[in-house]
Amino acid sequence: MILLICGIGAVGAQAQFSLPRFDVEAKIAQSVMPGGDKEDGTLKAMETTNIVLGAHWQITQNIALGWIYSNSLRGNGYNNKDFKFNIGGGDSQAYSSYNAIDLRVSTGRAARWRPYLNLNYGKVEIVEDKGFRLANKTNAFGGGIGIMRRYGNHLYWNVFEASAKSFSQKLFWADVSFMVEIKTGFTYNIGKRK
Amino acid sequence: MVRSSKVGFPLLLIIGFSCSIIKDSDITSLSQLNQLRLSGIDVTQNLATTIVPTATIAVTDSIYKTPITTTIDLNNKINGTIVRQSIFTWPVFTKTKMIFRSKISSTGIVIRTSFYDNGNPRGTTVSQNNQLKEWYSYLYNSQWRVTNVISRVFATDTTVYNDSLIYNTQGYVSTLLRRSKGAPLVTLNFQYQTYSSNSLPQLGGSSSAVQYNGYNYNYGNCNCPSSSGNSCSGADLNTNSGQLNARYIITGAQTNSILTQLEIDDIKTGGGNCGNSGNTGAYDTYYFHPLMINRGYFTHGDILLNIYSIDWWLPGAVTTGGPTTNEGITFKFNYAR
Repeated sequence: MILLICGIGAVGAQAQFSLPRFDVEAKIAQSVMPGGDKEDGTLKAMETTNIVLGAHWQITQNIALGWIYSNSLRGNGYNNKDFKFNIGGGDSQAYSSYNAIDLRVSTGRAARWRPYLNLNYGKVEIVEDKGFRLANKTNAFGGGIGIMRRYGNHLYWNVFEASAKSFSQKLFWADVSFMVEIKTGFTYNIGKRK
Repeated sequence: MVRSSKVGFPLLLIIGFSCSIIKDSDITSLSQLNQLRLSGIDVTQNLATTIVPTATIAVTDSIYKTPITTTIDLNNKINGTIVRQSIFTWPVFTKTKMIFRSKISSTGIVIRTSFYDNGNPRGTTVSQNNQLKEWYSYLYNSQWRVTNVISRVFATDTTVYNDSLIYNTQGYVSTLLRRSKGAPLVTLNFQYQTYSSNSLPQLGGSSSAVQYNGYNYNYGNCNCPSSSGNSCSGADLNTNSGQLNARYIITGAQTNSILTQLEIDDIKTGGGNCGNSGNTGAYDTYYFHPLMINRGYFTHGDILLNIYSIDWWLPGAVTTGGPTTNEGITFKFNYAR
């Protein structure tokens, strides 16, 4: 977390001295990773609540390229009970994290509501703690769709974003190969007016 | 002079890529997972009338300095190598639902399971004060599918069961043929069904019960909590007269071959998936069976453990106005690298 704060500080310093076309974002995400409900006691699903941080360089008014980082605040695995969207009712601890290069495309330039699409590629890490920790690191390709509401020249509320990531490899201990997420948060435009 | 705008963004990338949630001590491959060693089993009993402290079955591993080459099959033609043995020291319980078929109790009970080099168990012995009391052997075919389970219980009335397991085209035990000295061949047929859209088959779905030893076994998840899917399985047991109706459910947690928890509940309450009700008799007792600790090492071991409820399940007596609260026993398996 200290490193992340330092990272945001670096962006802040950047804004102070050079004012580039730049924005930073912070979001809360709820992810679900479906498993294979196959045999008694095997992993049915994992869910994690994550904080997502990111920074984007606005190449044009519609296209931005940047980086996103996500880390778990909490999470559960569901092994000896079915998931049924019973968030927090699992039987093991689960964590997820990802680092990805992110391409964001704004599909509208309306004064208030701005829909956007994103595509990203990077590394995903998944950990399940059931007395011993199982960990997997794999590449993932993902995309999403969202809508943000503009508040002035700098602040945007990412009202809702839905995304999915496909892993290049299944977890070695479970039939988990993709993640779906819903997010909400804020984006702050540091540089010139969008 | 280097402008901060030229270093800020790369710095962010470096910081981001350096944040990992994976620790050096984490298990990151299947081979590492399979190398975990069982270090102990915490046994917690939920009994209706007595509070029994959680006890631990201490487990130690003995690696053979000289592996033993033997045969794995019924016809003694396929070679296998025994490389290690796990030794379980059974604790003394003030009161317990778990007893032994050989009628042993108290101190000095030790269970040993030997393993082939591929991790499959060869057999399990139960002894007390170095006297062999029970001996369970597993025989395999060339694909390491269990073909025979031989159970030997040495008591005043020594019992030897030689069970042949016959599989259906999906790889599940469809028939168990039980041979024992002086008794006619017993044939038990098992049927399967799935409990959720993408689950693998579980025992159940049979219109006719499996009949054995005067009891009718109706396998399924009727007594499991609603929407439990494949996380829970069990059976109803009754007699032809209909006086007795005992129930159990098993809930397990397993990763690959690593069994982390196993809970067996003696169901006395109504409800469940099928809305059961009615007198279920006195509390049941469970005989120790090696599949309770070795279930994870077998393909579809959860189903094998249910099938072998014909041996480990001792239903309570018929009662009028029997207990209405559940009892249970939970095994929590602890592992070390």
